[in-house]
Amino acid sequence: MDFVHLHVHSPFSFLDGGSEIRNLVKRAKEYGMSALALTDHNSLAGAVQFQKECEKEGLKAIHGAEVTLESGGHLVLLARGQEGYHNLSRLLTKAHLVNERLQPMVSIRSLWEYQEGLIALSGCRRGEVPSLLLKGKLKEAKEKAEIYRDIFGGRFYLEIQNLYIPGDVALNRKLKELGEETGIKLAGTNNVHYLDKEDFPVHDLLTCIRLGLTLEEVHQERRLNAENYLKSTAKMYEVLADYPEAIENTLAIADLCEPGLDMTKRYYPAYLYPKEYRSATAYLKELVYAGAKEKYGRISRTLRERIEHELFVIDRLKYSDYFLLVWDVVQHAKEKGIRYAGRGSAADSVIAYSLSITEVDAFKRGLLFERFISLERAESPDIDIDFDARYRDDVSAYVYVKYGERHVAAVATYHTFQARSALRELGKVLGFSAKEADILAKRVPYYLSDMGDLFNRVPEIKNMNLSSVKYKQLLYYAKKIIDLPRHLGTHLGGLVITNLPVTDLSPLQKSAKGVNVIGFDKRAVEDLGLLKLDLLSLRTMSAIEDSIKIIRDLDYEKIPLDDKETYKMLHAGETVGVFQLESAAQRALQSKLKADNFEDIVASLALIRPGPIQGNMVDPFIARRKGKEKISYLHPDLEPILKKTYGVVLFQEQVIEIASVIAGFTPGESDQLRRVMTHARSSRDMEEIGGVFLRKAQANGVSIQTAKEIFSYIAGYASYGFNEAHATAFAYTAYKTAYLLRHYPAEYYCSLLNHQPMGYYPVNTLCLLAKQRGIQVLPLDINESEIDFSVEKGNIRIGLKQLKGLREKEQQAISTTRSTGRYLSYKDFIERLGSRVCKDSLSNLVKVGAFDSLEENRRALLWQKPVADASPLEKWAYEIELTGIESQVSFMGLTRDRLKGFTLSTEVKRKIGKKIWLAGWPIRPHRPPTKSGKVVVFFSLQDEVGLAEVTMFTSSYEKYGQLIFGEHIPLGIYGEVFSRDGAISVNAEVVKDLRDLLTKE
Amino acid sequence: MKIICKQIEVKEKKFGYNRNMYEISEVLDSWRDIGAWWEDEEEKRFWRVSLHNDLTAEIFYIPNKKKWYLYRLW
Repeated sequence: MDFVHLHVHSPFSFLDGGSEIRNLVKRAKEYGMSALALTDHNSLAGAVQFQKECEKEGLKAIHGAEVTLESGGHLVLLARGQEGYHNLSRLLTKAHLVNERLQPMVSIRSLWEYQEGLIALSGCRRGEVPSLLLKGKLKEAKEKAEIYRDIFGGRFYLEIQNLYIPGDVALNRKLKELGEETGIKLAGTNNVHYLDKEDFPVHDLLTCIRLGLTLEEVHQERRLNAENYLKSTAKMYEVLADYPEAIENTLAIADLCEPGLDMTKRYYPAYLYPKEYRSATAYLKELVYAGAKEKYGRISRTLRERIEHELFVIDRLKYSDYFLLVWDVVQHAKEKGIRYAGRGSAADSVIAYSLSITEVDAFKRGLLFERFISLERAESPDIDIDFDARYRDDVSAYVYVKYGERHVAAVATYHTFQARSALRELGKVLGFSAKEADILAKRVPYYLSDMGDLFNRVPEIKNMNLSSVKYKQLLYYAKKIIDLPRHLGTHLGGLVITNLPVTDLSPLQKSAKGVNVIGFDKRAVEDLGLLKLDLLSLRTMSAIEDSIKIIRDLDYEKIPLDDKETYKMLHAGETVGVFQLESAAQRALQSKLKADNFEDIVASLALIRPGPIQGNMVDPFIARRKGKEKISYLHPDLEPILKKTYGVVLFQEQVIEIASVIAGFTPGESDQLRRVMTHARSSRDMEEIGGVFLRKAQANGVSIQTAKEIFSYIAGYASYGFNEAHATAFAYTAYKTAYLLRHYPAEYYCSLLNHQPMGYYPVNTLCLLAKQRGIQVLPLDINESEIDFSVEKGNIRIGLKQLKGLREKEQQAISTTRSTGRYLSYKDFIERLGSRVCKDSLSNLVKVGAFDSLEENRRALLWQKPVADASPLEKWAYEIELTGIESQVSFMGLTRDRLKGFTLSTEVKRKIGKKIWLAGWPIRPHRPPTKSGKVVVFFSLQDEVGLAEVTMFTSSYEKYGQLIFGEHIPLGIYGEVFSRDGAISVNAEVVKDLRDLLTKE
Repeated sequence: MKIICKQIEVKEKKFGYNRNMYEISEVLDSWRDIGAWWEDEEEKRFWRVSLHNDLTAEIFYIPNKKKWYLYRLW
């Protein structure tokens, strides 16, 4: 007895599939089924994952889709093999691209065009034939059936389902009669939307989200019962007992089908290298040596050996075309003057450096190529490049033009339900008001996956008095839907380039930005062997570019890496605005570490991450760096590897090198070892790996005792290690932006302000810190403000674009009109601009003081009559509301006289060991995961002169957490001032809401 | 049409209601209704049947309770 489910939906039928692909496949296997089909709505997004899972379980994967026809009806299409799969993908592409976004429809003409290799089933009740039969339109149903019979020949089947819906009995009878009349065979399915009966509530909730309903509302699309689960063979025989021929035909269909994707192939395009070269590798070699000569001058024997080794691996793995492609893209960027920087493990490659893809000298740093690519791993290389955010799309457009639109597409990303979105959306379904659901969602820490314990663990939620059954249901089901795909999005920078037309492999859809997106995400793209380029936008690149333009006489590439003043600034933790070094944790680290060379910056980037923090690596590193702890090595061969990190294993490359040097693994084998250690789940796995390591180490002449110690040492650090190449690549940008900040603060901050949102801190904090450096932040002025923020005699002028609601056209109009002569008065402005600036914008300009230099009284201008001007507090309120910046006065400054006994943020460092009161606005509160699992909250408190760092431990968090993570309000913090190796912080014991104190008359 | 929703006993295709005995002559349709699962309502299995006296009835069975109910009669 066998059965195959031919009509199955996964979560890639967004909000209509309740169970994951791997669980569906596993269950089919448990039932002893030989094959399974996947037929998501208008999509093949799950195809790669599905085929992979089927191969793992030894099941045959049958690819398909349930398509929506122009009539609105459904039709199930199954691919017989690769040709059928190609046709299905092309058909779906047409359906998506020809129609409005998110409303794909398949025409009869498309079915005729692409029917080869496809089998069609009449679908569920929403199929054209069944729905006509249900309406009693027998003649029309027959006509439709005959059309599909003509299109697909003997490959069209009438689908029998017994789902215990009213009318099913009669419908199935009519389908059988129709089949007899027309010679169309029957097939039996169960229209599967989830795994088990018990999963029905999840599916029903997803349906309600999709339809915008609450649970109490009735809708014809909500399933009446829980019968759409993956039934066992026995169960299917039971429900289709009256239609044995349907089961027989279903099995015959499954026999006809083969998987549609060749997962062993690679679909890389060939790079068109010049004819005089005999191969892509030959051309690549020429370019690499030319680049290396430029970078190194003289090519030493060891350098040559390194280059030849990398070329050998690249050639063996057939990646030469890929490197040439990437080189070509960065050449284009260089020619156009577009700033870029390669990142990630590509910086482990000397070839990437020689081709100017990255700026990290992997040879000089002794970085291991095998961390990037190795023969043993044989995975596709992944090169990420950050571009000036303004021009990233231009670079992308170049790729489309060069390789052809048919061969290039953006990679998808699947937005999945996370804790907050799950709570919000399910909250509405369960009948909570949008406000209640939003409040709950906002109070969930982003990393909290254990939803069930929210009541006890998160004080903000405890204080909401959540105890009703409804809230418990909300939390229970939110947990169930976390990680299910919600909708398709576009991967930020990923592009695939294929040798076949992309549409042979995946349907394309239009993204919200109008870009063609392939149906696969990054993981599926890699699994399928597609070439992917990551062309990323980085606003830091834009800010750097702008800074250089304003500064004019600075060669960014020649910034010295040993500037003492820059390091001095890092020691003081004054790094707000510095790439990757501006978070509170990084600033604290810089204060402790006292970096005085580039390697320290590389290490900083590797240290402030959950792994090393939880693994308690940070303090030992600092202690050894400062000579407070002795550095020792378990074996002399470890010294050259670990010297630069003071004996601490910090980088993945170090783990590889250690395994290589101690146990004689090839670098590729060592990298495999590292990966296995990182993902090892059980002590048995680790024992097995350990066994191999120990044997090899002993064979290499290392004593068993030493080998054991070394193994446990690297095993402990393997999962924490950071990619050194990536850290180095980022460190260049981090250091150089620190240099810019130190030496050209006005220009650099101005550029940062022009490229918001970016970085860690809000605009107002950046402005405050600029002021701390003696830079004035000049208010919006109708005669002085450019559209962007600008540098004005060493100060920063707020730009017109910062005014809320002032449209681009209005900004242009103001700026252009002024070029013919400054505005002499408010009246002059109105006369010259006329209706080009609307009333609201005009009013806002007055409110923020843009006319203050011409007419002092804002209120009189607004009301057009003699009245007293707005108070300083009112002016502050206007400015903060309409620009987000406190340029002249700050709230804390205005209310300071009510804060007797409160310490200013700049004075905190003089109060170490004392208990003080601080007042200010909490900035960027966050709860990073900790080793102990206890909650520690970090945030900055901003007053009128600076930032103070605050730490809040579990007991205070439980009492006051809702004040920190709730509304943005001014707070009073009471606690002791600590210095941890130079990093100063207040340990909050008491937190108070200061609104009443500061605003009551 | 009035909803009855009264418990009945079904034995050998017969059931009694309001002092009358009804015999099921044919099953016209059957379906299952999961109900308001969020309020722990139980699944009901429905049958629409024609009766010996040309009337039509809808009866349902709750598997968890092993009880029959008459839903409608016309």
